[in-house]
Amino acid sequence: MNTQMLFLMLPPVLGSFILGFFSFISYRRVEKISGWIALLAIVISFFAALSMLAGFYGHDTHPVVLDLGSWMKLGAFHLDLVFKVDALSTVFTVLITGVGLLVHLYSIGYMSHDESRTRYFSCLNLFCAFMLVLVTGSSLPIIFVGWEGVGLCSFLLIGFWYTDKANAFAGRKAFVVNRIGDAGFLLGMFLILKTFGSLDISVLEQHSLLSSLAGMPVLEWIMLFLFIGCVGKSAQFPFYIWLPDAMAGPTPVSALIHAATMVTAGIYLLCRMFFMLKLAPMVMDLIAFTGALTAFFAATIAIFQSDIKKVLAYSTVSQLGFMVLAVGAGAPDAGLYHLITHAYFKALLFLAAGSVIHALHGEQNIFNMGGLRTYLPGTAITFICGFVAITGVPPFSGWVTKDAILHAVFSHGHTTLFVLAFLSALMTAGYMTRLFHFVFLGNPRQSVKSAKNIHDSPWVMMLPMWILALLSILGGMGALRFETILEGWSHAQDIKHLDGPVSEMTMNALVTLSTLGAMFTVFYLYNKKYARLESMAQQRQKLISFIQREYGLNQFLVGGATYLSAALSKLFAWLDRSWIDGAVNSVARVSMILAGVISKIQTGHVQGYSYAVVVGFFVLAYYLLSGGV
Amino acid sequence: MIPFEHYIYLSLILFSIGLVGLVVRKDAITVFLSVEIMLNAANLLFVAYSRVRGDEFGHTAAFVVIAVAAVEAAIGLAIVIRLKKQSGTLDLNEIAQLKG
Amino acid sequence: MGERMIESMIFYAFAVLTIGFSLSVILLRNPISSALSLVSSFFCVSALFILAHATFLGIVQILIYAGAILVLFLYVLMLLNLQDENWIFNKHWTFAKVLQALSMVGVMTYISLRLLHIEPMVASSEMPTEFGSIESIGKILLGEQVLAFEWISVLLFIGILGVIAICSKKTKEAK
Repeated sequence: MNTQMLFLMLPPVLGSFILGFFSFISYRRVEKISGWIALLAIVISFFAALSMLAGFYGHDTHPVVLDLGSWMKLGAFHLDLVFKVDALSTVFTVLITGVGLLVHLYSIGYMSHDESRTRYFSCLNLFCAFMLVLVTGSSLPIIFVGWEGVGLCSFLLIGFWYTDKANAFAGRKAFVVNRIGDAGFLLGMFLILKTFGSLDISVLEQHSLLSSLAGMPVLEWIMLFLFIGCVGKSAQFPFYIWLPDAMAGPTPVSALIHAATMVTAGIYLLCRMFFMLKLAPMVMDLIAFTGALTAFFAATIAIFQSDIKKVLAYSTVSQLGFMVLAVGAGAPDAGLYHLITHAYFKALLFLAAGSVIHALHGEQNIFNMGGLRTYLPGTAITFICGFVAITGVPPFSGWVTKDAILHAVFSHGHTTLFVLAFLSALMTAGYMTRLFHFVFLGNPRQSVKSAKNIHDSPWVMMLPMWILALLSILGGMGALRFETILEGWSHAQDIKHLDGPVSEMTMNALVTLSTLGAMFTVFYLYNKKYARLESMAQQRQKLISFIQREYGLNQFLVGGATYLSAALSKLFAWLDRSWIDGAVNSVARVSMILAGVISKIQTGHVQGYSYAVVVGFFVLAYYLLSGGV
Repeated sequence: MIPFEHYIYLSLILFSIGLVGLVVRKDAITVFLSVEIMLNAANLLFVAYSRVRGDEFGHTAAFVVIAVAAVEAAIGLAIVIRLKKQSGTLDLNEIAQLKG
Repeated sequence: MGERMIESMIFYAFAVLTIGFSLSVILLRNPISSALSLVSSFFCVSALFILAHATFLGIVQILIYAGAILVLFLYVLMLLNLQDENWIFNKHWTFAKVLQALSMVGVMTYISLRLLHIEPMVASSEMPTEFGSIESIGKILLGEQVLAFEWISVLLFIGILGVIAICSKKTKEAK
């Protein structure tokens, strides 16, 4: 038993079960320290992950393996329960446990007044445990277990305050939409098993059929199904509808699950299966298109939101679109870099938003905020760090990674997609500036004026934010992006970067200038020309509210799904009544008819019976005595 | 010397006669009488074989058959009396209580 | 030789009589006539038994079969008073029934003759004197075949019970 792996995987599981047990018992003493217990578990995992990461910086790049024996044996099919940490997984484990650690610490402060915090921390630990299972699984079924597990935990955590029905529905929506993606994942798995005969990733990587099947419809279908799973989990168009609703959960949950970890599970899967994905060009194009579309769409919606968390939610969807676009364009390493930096600054932004909400006692409408820079200086500074990172101000983390993606997309020839992505980047700058302006700048508005004693959050909440702020600023550096390791990985995957018509430097310069320009324009507009903006908004009120409601997509999908399931139910009910009941009834009817016919033999006349007996007896006797049948 | 086959043929003929009576006759009593004819034919066969083998086993068997015939006749007649009381007729074409 | 011839003649005579009487059992309409023909038939069969050196059995046949069983039949026949019934004297033999009867007989005869196994007879003079006597049969009945003997007694007992059960009147009293 590999001790490193055990220290990585076990603590969150144990922590979750212990806390889960106590969440039922309701022991006062444990409640007080429940957060610290959960934190301890994650800290242990974090150090285990770090030690494994250190190993990968040397020349020894063997994956660390934890083999728990055989799991399934079905005839020729055979599956082992093996957890493996290789170059790709180690990055993810450090990210999960690291950001998880910070979020746990933050939650201790954020949830300090909540009655059911033991349950919260139990779910949070469980979530980390499942996420670790997902990224260390050596075969697709194990990844799927983690996949489903994180879906379950997101349901538990989104609907954490379930006494309010809206929260419960949001949790349910997340789970159901995820499930649709899961169906795709399952179908992909079935197809892989049928084509290749194995679901173990190392076996698939070396499989002899791979080269012969390159570009064949089979591979396209497999990757399409797996991508559907990714769409559900990573909130791509059109299955992103659950993510904005998921803001109903506690803010640290949004930070961890929806910024840093769960939604990145889809990206992880695509990268893990990249060796197969690159052999399915049509699906790659589809993926790139979906990513660009999602990025653009979500950005347009984010511009018009009034809830601070909703802005960040749509921003997350948009950034995920970027990552997916990168993978589809053939540059998964660029996508992974952006994933890492996005984890830093998006988690930070969510935590800062949580800090604001906490300070204003639950207010989430940005139009009621304002001027918080004086009241919440610490929060403001950390928010600025995240803000410059996400908008792509050089030389901060977001600038490095976003530009890498844009360059890759352009160089690989997807011009239209590049345009969409570029516009999305501009809009990112736009809505983030808008957010910053309304929350922190300007004069205090309604809630700020009415609230008493607005102060920065306690140290348990500020410390993680400062750490993440530091990471967001410095994250462009190679070390913080795990560059060495990921370069090793992308080299193994045979990823080559073309140097398009425009050199990287030129592109960088152009994009950066445009983004900065957008930012300053928005600042200017909101400061000086606010009245003008407002009148324009008034005129186009209908259009704006349409965009605000996700272009009606939510209603369309949910309504469509409801209608479809109702129609199917009616169809099946009819089938059951007429065919199945009919079949059963007709069996009964047939026997009755048959019985009626046969019972005519029983005439009741004894002499007839004796005739039959005699003849039958003699014939039988003849056959038996003459050695016949 | 009577050839053995003659006993067999006689027994066969008697049995056939009884069988025909069993199937054909309408009234219950005559049917019973036909059954007695058949039993008689069987007894004849037992005795013939016993004669041939020099063994008295056949006699014993015939004895048992007679005893059984007695019992069967008694019970059968009891049923007939009961039947007459219930249905009023002994016509076997009419009595079809076993029908169904 | 003369002995043999007389033996054969007696046999054929009684055989023909038996067949004749049996035929009249099934052909006559009046059930009492049928019963009486059967009695005669039994007498002839008894003669045939004695011819085959089954002396004890021949006597038993007359005593019990003809003397007890058929007498019982006659008692019951007289009790039932079937002469007054109309249907007795109607036609029994329909075409279908004749066909039935003949087919049955045909099948049976064919099969029996196919399976027939003939054994040679021992001459009468060589028969032991004790053959077919009461002592020999008694020895077997109460020796080898004592179980069959006991079962017969059980069977008779059950028969008595059965008859009583069938013929008892169950008075329907409200309980």
